Amino acid sequence: MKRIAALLAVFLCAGCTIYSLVNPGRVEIGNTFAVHPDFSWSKFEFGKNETWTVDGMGLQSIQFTKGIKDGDTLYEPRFVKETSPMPEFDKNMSPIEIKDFIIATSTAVGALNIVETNFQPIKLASIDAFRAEFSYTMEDGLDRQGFAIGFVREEKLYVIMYSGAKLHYYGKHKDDVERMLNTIEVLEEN
Amino acid sequence: MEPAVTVTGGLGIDVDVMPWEANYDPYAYKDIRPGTRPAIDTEEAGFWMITDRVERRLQTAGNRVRDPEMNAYIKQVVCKLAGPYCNDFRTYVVRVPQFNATMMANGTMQVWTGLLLRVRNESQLAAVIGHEIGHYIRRHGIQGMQDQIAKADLLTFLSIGLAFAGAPPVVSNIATLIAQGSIAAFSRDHEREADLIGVTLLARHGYDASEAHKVWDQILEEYKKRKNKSLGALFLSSHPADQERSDNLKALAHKLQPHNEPGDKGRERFLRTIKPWRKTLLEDEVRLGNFKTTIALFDMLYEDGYERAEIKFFEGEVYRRRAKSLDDKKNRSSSETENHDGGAPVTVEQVEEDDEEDLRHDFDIAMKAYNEAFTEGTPPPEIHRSIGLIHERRGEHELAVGEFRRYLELAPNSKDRKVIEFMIGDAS
Repeated sequence: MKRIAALLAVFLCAGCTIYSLVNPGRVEIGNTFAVHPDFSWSKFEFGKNETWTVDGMGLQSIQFTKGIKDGDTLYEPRFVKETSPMPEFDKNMSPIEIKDFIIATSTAVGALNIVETNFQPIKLASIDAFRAEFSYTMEDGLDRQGFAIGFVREEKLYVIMYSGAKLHYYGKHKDDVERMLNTIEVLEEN
Repeated sequence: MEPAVTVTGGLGIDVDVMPWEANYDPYAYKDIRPGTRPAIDTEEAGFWMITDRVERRLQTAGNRVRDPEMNAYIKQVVCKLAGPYCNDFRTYVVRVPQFNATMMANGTMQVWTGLLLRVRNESQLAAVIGHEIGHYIRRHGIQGMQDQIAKADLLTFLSIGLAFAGAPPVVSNIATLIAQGSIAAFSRDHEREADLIGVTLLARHGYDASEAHKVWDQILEEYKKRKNKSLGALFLSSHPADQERSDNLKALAHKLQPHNEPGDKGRERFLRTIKPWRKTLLEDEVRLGNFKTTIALFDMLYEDGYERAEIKFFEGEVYRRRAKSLDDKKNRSSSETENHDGGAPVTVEQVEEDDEEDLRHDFDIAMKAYNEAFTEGTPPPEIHRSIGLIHERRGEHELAVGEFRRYLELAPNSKDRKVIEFMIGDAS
């Protein structure tokens, strides 16, 4: 009986993702970033990544990667599609190589037809960073759009990636995300 | 001496008339007539409905290649081979960097872009398409499914009977193995039959039938380089490739075109169509990160001789992106580590095989490939960016700047211009 109950619990939990609420105001992400959202988001944390969404992960999301070390991967290797290995970050990568690393990682987890539309250096809270804009599709055929901001600090890679369905959902909160990133604080390393 | 040839006489095939005889009609099978669908009250109609649903998903798939020229070209090859069945097929070119083509029972065919990167001419492409057409006109999909259901039913019945008779479990396991072997043998028969129809269609429509076995030879050569055989070679998982198969195709081609009068390879037509896509296909292959297989493929494409400068550039890209140092390679020799060809642990023997190849830093090997690209012709402008990135990683900033500037001269509208200018230090 105990075994059946345990099995049932595993099945029930397999289908659920644990979200929590992010309230408006100053919010710290790990002890890496602090942002000021204007309204509520739903948050999901996994490994080095914290992901927020309003309408659902499949429709739009912003992901904060809280610093990955030399040799680490952006996502857990077990999320890789069967055809590719998960790329590893190298602390000596240039912005171009980091952008290629993000694209290769996205390919490895199933993004298709990734097309870069813009790539430029920026300042993020006075830190030298880069911003890459791109479009892509997933297996379901939904066209998506997004941008990634990345920078290396103390040999760790930090990435903020916003993406969503090209139709309506990307645009719906893009300006809110831009506003939030304009006031982002990069916290001193823990 | 004439090579031996195997001809499978499946349902509806009159083996008294051989494919190389003039009165043999590759479209004369009784299984399914052109323009027909199975009657609605049949098991097969249900099977078609399932494949119709899969096709609807394919129509909106994000990785479907919608380039009108590419699709028109593939359709023209399909129709040339399919003859009266032309309108029974809907072909979808799908952007997946693996060697594969599939046919569903309702005539939905997929051609993956990895196949387009690997075949060398229209005859080779037609050999794969003809093979898939063979599966359709012989209804292999429904036959395979019916065979599996029948054998599963028999096995269930047998297992119950054996259990009642008090037979030990090992007997039931043996029965399962026999049933599995029988299903596999049935599938291999289908493959032989599809090969036969495919190569016959090639010869009947003026293609060079001897290109059919070369497709298998090329794929086998690439496949042998894989360390993890379970990954990536999707076509091979359902289409077992072995020397016997290649030999049989070679013998059939010899019978079908006996007077050393090879048909049209269609190389120019094929390369003209593929040219606008070639760089994208090579980039997709590099992004896979399957180091060994990709290098093996690029070696073969280099030997093929088309756009060698481009191939050498992408070969350099594979090494540059892997960026393993001499120490990395040595360390791999002393302990098991992650296999970049698919994730399984690498054995010491495999690492030694790697190291025998080259113990230099991957950047050195990449630079050599880039230099060779220049001697082969005009590589893409991105080669200067790549060389610059290696110089930058080596701390040779002045050399890097020179290469970055050259890149911007050659590709003034590049999307990464601002980042390159920033790296140069020109950012205003």
